[in-house]
Amino acid sequence: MAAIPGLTPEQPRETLVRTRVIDNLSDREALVGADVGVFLGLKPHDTVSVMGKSFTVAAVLPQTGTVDDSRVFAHLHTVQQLAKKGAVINVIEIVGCCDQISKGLAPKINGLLPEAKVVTIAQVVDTQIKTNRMMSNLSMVFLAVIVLVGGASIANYMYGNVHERRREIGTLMALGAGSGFVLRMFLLKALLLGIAGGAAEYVLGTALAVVLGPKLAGIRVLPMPTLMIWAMVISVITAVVASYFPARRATRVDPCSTLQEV
Amino acid sequence: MLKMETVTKAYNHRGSTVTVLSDLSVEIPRGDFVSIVGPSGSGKSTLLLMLGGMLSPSSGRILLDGDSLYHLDSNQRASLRRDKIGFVFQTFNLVPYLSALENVQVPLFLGGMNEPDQMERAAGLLERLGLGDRLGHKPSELSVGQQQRVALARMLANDPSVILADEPTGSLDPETSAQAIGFLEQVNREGRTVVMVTHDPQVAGRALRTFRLDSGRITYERLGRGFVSVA
Repeated sequence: MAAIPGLTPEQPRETLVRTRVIDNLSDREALVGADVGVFLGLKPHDTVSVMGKSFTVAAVLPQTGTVDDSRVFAHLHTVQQLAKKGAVINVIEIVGCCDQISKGLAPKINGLLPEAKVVTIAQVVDTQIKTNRMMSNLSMVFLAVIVLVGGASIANYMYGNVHERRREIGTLMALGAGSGFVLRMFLLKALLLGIAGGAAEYVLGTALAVVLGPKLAGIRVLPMPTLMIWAMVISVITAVVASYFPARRATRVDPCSTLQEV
Repeated sequence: MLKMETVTKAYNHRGSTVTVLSDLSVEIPRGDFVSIVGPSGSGKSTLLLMLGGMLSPSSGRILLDGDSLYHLDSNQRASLRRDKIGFVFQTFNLVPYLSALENVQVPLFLGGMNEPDQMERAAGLLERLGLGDRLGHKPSELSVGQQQRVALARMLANDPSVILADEPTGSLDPETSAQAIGFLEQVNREGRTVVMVTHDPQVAGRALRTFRLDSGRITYERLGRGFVSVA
């Protein structure tokens, strides 16, 4: 097996993923993750340019299944120069066994690096889960507010519609329409409005997410057809519930209003 | 037969009682043609609304073919209107977004008739009124006289035995007015009862009987030419 430049001769490339120990790495050498290697078609001794500086690929690391597969590693001083942030270290990742952590590894590291914030992966995951849960709850609150505002708008529109059409309703009643017919007429209208609104919400919302997702959040958004069912269900229920009281008012329209010109 | 038995209608207005109709008793036999005249506020509209089952009396009974209208619930009265009563309104009250044919179909639809039969009957009625070439026209695309004829066709859709007409010529020119009243005479000759509210003495004179309402009471009934006091 050929020796890897910059590494001690007795350390084979495959052991990097297990030992994570690099004794020597020159300022023009880089280690690339497995995914980066496949994506850029890199092999050891190839040249890769990062932030305007050329590096010789010292090794393509084996697949680890972690974010390290999509990273490029270089000497700390070289990275600090390229980043132009000065002698700053953002993160130090330390691999330790569970029992070492329970024996107080984190407080000990904190003692050694008092200015650093030391957190375990479990804490990071826990924080991420809490953040996700909070975002999910916040989304539900937004959804509830949107549904309430939408429902109030629909109810307001339907009250206006009933008022506007009271003469027509009165005429229908004079011609023999019962209150049940008038109620069904307005609820059917609400149902159709809900279906049309749900479909429009899905199409518009998906289009916005697909277009704005990569620009605002840096994530690729794909259409989710199951959301169409949710949009329809929520929209129809909101429209029908919000229209119920206006529709009931319609059933109480005085048919005498049709003869008021006498 | 339409019958009002000692009917009184009174409203409460700002603490005082306003009596619109007072102890009114009228019998209108099947096949009669009655016009109701009187000054504004005399109770003509109230009388017509009560006969149509749309305004309950404060006391007394109103009977249609022996059934007391206001002992029925509102849905039963709606069914009775649908089956037995045809309305004509002064401003026609056509549904603006429906075609002439669809407007005439409305009572038939409410009566549960299937769509092909609705269309056939509605088209037949409109042809009878000379609107066979205007079936697909919206009310806004029709002249006032044509709109009134659509309303008359709609009135007959469910083959009612009683016609209640509210100023049926109030919005028409004399010629169209004569056609409309001629049509009401025609349906009366078919055996239908017609009750018509009007301000026009000439139109009222075409009825078999004329009631004059004054301050909620019938003051005169005209038979033929002269007025006969019944008060």
